[in-house]
Amino acid sequence: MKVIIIGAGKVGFSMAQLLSDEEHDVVVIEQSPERQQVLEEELDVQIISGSGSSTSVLELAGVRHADMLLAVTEFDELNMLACLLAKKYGVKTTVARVRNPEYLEVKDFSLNDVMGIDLIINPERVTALEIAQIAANPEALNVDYYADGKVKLVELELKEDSAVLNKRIKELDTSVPYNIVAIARKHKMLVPRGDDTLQLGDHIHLVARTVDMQEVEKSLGFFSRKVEHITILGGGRTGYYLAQILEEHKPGINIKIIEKDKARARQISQKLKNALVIQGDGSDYQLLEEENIAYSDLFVAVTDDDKINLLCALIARNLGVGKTVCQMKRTDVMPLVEQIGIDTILSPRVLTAGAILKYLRVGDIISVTLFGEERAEMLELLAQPGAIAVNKELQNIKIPSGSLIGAVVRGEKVIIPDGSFTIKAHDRLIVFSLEKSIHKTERLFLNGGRKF
Amino acid sequence: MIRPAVILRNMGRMILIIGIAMLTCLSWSMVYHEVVTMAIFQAAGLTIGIGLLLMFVYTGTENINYKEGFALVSLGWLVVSIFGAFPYLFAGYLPSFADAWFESVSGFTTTGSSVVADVEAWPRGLLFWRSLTQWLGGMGIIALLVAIIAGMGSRANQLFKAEVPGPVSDKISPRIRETARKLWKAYLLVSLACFLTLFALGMDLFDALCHTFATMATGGFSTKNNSIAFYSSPWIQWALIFFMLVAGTNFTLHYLTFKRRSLLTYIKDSEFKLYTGIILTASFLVVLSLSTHGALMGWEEKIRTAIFQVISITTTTGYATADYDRWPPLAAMMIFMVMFAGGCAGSTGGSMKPGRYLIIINHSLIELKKMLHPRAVLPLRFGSKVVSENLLFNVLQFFFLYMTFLALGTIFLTALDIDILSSLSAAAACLGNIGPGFGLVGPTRNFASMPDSGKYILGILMLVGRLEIYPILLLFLPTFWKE
Repeated sequence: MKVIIIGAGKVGFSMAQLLSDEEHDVVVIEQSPERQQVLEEELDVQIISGSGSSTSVLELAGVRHADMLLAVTEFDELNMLACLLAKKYGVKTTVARVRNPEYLEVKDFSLNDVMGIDLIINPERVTALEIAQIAANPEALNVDYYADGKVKLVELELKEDSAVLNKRIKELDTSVPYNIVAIARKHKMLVPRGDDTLQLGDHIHLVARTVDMQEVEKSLGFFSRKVEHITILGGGRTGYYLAQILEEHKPGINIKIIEKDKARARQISQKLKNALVIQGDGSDYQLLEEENIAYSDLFVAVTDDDKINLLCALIARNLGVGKTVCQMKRTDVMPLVEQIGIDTILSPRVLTAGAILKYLRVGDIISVTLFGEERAEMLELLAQPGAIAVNKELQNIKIPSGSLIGAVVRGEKVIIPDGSFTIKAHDRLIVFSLEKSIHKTERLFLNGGRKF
Repeated sequence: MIRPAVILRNMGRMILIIGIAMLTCLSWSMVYHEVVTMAIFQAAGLTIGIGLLLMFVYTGTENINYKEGFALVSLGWLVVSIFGAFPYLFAGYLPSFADAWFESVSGFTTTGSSVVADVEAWPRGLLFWRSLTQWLGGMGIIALLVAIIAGMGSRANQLFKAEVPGPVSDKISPRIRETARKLWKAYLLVSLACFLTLFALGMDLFDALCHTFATMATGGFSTKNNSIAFYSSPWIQWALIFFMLVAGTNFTLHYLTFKRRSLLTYIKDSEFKLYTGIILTASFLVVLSLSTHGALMGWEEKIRTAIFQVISITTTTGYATADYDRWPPLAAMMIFMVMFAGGCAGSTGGSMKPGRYLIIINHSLIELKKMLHPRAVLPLRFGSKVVSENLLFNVLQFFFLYMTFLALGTIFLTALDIDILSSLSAAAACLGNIGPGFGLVGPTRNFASMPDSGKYILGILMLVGRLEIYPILLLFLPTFWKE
């Protein structure tokens, strides 16, 4: 597949890296010589110098033969225009990063029709949605849904009081069915087998039916607390979106937003209905104490500054907040930050890349979630008639060691499979896979896949 | 940090490719029932064996890092040239290692300097290997490796660039592997055309093939003692003139011309214009100089000989149809000067490359304009592309280093009691991957008379020239090897 990426910022770089590693033809359009240099040294992509809104540059980049165009520069207007042009050239899929909420307020018609943008991605909104999901499941470090919400994935940390510590996976109680699809242990992603034991500090990734999840968590000794008080540090776009989403979906919740900038604080206080906006410096220990942060069930640090986020999350944790979520733009130090006791670290870049990647998947791969910097994906695959793995028991299929089938959706039913489960054609499979096994796993379920 | 396992594994792959290439020589020696068959077979077997051994002992999937990339390019070329010497050694035709390595490295770097006085007495199997080494080295062993092996990762880009000659290299495809493949394909196609032409003009199958290898790679090894002078047919010489010109042109241009189906691609390229300009000017001066001398030659022959010799040296091929050593001073001087021109960037030619001159010329013009308009903002261009100041410094630095190596090589050779002209021209011919020089190493002589230490020095100069100095120089930087 040929992909054109406009803008080699953080998101653009991530996408270029992900796609070129997957052997796609990637052309990057970038203006800054410094960024060009970085890309040139790090990635196997073609770099075109110029602006993505210029037709001659687009033609030089081979827009006529491109299958997809990602416009992820800093400038909303340029991104939208590039997508518009690309559509006219016949590019099948276009993705634009648009941050200004005013552009997204169109109600009477969709931007997709007018501008030819297939996916509008707003990193702040993606981040806010992710945090809202975490707020709904405070015991989990991460939450995701698949198959139209019927299947749920949660990431849980095993603490000292956990009942399942040092147990083998096959010894666990599975009266309510679930699958542990991955374990993050000491910054490494493992795909567990029945003989593996669970250890203190493991982050387990659990897949179960959405309706069963609470039962499953209970059986494993996790009790969900309800989030009633939430403090959001930073009233920027992410913080504002988050408050807006929470107000809409969880009406009973108490939201406190701390924003340093007076004008901004006033602005969001007028826009939001219930949230309490406090003007002040989030890193001011006294202010946090005065505002009784300790009573918050959830503390979210989403200012533009990584250092402030980190510092305030630490203070909040120290004051005894139930759970801390911290936004970090830098991804290289994420594992370090988890070590110092912040529960969840989110990178807008990784989240955005994951959201875009879902669109890239061709054929029957439906949805994709990325796990951190280390490349691992949750794939939704459709078992095609005639594929190798169809009509066989799971235990008889040689599934690559880096992959595990978490759940199967057959019609309306969700099944958590075990070894004796037989895959039928048209089943939707929710599969966890490390990067090295992704392609091998995909081939198992595609018609005409190679034999092993 | 340099991990030996990563380098050795990839080196194993390079050695394996060389070993497989050796096997092709067997077909010739077997058909002609030559006694060297066994020796070539042993050399190929040993090379393939060691290649496979390295690949299997050092398995793993770690990606090559930046430093390892440079180490792999320079050490890889060194190791390949050593393995390439095995057929000569084993067959006993060049029993001394210094001779065998010199011949091998001269082949791979497409220099074409030889220590063999009587090539016509050599068995075909060995001659074929001698020619084939040039052809492989012409487009590049690393390029071949990148084209063949999947999953070299993003580092392949750097490896490829370290090997491709010239100040700037274009990617004609988003993926470096595709780029390498397209270039190799273009190389193969043009080579095929060259072979068919030579064959049609009356060379026999073997000679046509060997001369194709030597021409397309701008190598210059001939299968005849008198080089191209052996073929008196003007047509063969004109054909070789054309194909040498083609080989000295950027292969990216050939590819784009083919893709766009438009010869304008060449005319629009400023480096190509300078390249042909240098050739035409030098040829004109040589003809002018020859016209007052050697009244024996007719006009067609004079022009043909002049152009042939100028192109042969400019493209760094090194074929000879005349002994330019005995030409009048101006003609001889022109030949000496074009030793420093070279083929275009991205061609199989060596030396300094017209592209580098172009950048310096353009910058000189900018400096002049700035004297008239002190506050003018003038971008530095390479063709239609604006290039950064860094590239200018890189080119100037290259000039300095090139001259330094030339001086060091010359000093070393004079220390071996070789006269100044021979020493200077030998160093220039080897550093520029050209082949023949003047005096003791003139077009009718060879390098056999060099002492062994001289051969080693010249061999290293060839590698320095082929990889364009930096990768080799890095190896001698102590910090390169430290953590």
